Amino acid sequence: MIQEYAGIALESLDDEIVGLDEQERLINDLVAEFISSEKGQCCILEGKPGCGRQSLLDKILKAYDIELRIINVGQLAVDGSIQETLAKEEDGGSWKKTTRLPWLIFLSVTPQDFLEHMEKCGSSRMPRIRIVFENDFDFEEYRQAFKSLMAPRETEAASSPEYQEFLESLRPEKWLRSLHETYDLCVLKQVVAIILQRIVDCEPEDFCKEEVESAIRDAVEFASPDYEPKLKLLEDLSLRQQCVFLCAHRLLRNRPAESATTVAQITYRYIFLEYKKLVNTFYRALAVSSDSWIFREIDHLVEIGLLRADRFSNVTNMSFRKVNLGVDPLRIEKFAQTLKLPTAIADFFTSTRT
Amino acid sequence: MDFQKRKTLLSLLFNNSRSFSHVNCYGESSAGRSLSISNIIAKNDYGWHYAFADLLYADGSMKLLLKSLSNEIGVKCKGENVMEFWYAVREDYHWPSTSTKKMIIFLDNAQAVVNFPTYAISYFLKSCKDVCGLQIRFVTSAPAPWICYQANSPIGSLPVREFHFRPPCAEACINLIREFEPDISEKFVRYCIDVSFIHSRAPNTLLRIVRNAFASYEESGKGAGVLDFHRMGSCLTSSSHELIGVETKFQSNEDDLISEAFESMPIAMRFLLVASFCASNNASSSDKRFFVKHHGKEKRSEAREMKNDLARQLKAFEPKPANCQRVFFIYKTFCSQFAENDFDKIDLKCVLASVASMGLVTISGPLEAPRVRCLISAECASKIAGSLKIQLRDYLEYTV
Repeated sequence: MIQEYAGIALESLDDEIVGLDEQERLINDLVAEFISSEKGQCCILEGKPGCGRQSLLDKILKAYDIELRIINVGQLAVDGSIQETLAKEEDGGSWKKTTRLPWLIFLSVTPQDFLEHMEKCGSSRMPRIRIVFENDFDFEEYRQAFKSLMAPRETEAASSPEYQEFLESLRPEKWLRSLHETYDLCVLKQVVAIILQRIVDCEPEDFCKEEVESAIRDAVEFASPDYEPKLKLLEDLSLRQQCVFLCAHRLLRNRPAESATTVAQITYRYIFLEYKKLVNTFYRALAVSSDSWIFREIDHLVEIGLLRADRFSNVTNMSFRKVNLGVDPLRIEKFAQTLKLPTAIADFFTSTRT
Repeated sequence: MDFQKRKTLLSLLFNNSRSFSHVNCYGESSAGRSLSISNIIAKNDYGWHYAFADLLYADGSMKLLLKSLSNEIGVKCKGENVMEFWYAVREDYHWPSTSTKKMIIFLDNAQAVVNFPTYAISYFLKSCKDVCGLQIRFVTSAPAPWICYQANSPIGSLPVREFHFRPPCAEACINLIREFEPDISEKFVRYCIDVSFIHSRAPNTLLRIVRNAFASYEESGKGAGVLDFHRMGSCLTSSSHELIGVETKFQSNEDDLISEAFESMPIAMRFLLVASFCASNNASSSDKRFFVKHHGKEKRSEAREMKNDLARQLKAFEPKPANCQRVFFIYKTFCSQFAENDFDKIDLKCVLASVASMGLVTISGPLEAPRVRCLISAECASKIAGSLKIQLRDYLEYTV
């Protein structure tokens, strides 16, 4: 039953807009005035990418049964006849008859200081009507927005007391504060979509409170700035590849860089020598017949992003290619403890380097 | 892939929310990632249409990408106008009903996205939301998470929704191989997998290892019966050596290839290579000691050797660029000491250009004073010097 309401909420989440009531009122007044007076108008919408400018426009114009036509500025630059094409689309007849029809134009811009980057002849022609999509919310408004997104208005989920009780049992005031300090409402909408998708995805017999809390914890971890998915690939590698990566990490974690503008790097050959040290001393089963096999493994680690190759040097001999770590060394040390390495190999990597 | 993981992937790919406009499936290529995902998308019964494109084939060209997508979907699109492409998809594609228009675009080899201009590919992935009545979902298949391919990820936005495609574990590999090869006994397969799994986790590679090991085991077998573990081990080692490089007692023929390659070189080219190797790996202050006073006969005391060992550990051992004139002078010293004939009439710059075009040295710097860096390894240099009867170790400051 809770999952059905979550499914309804997930379907309705696309049309739900929170936190933009003032902007909605301003645009609604503008569109109503345009329709009633048949007079052309232009307006600037400022905001960050993903703040909901187009979604709000779509929602308002859908109420008036008007389709929003989107034109990219680059398209205007390369296509000189775009105005004629648009006029023909509207009327279906000749071009001259439609030049006197009124137009309602919304200029959607991203940076806050775009007027300063324009030339003077352009900025003097900009419309004076400007709607800014930037709001500051306190935590209580953020929590109300979360409840509105989890149970969108005019749906069965919003009017169900069982679902409302379920939302109260999530206790968002405990874990929502970290999201509030980092992100705004557009990211909250995505996090809510992830949580709802996990709830809908769960099997009905396995649905319980711990599962929902696990979904919330995963969503908050996914949204946190220190989310690092590359280290999960380390579990998929074979033992040889894991040892090659840990040898590179062992060499690079305390190595100073050559200058202030570069990072610490190591050549393929030094990684192979470290690997030979591990094989000869600690774990004989990992022995390889040639160093080219280890070089191949280092190339594979570069391909999946765990190591980062130095692409500026033109080196044809593989021994002298350089790599550096693609992941933070402290995170690697924390993650390496969760790997199920043999005891001898773990002893080699935890021992201090002489 | 187990049932729960598959259900998670299906729910991630085929839900009706617009928040998941881009799903990245990452993981090992050897686990059959792209093939499995394309099969799941192509044979779905959730009402989503399917289109395939290869970013590696497009090779950084937005025009090629839109052209291949247009041919795949069956619409006509001119040039590289992304918005016109979306409108053509909405109007001209043969949708079965007008109620829902949902399409999944599967972009294979998504690691090639770094070849595209950043603004073009980000506009392509985001502009599908601008079309009313059309819902597009991009599914990319890449070895690494999407954050590795974003040059400048915007601050304050979530990363791309991702699915981790895991390779099969050892038990699943055993079951897969026994499905393909039912004649091989389970004990044999389990023994091979247990030994080889620490080197490679690719099911195809493991299948070939098991096949080759079983073929050589039956070939050398005296009769059916109890499994001989000693013979199994030797057969497995010989088959693993070719595929995953496991060490064997047999000598590999790589050294023979190197010897044959360098013995066919002219003698002047060999002298020049050895000279460039000495110039790249020695400090210029040691030239007088090696090539003027002692000529390789310098006595090495134990204290100096220990000091050199300490210095070698701190040094990053790699070839350094050396002056071209220095290389030529070392070459002349070697010729006067070890060559039987006179090489004074040879144009050394032509020989140096030939060696550089073969990739054995790199030449950098201005044309008036080029700098030479030798890229051959110490083993190759020792072999070349041995063919010229030069004791290369005596001319190196730090022996390797």
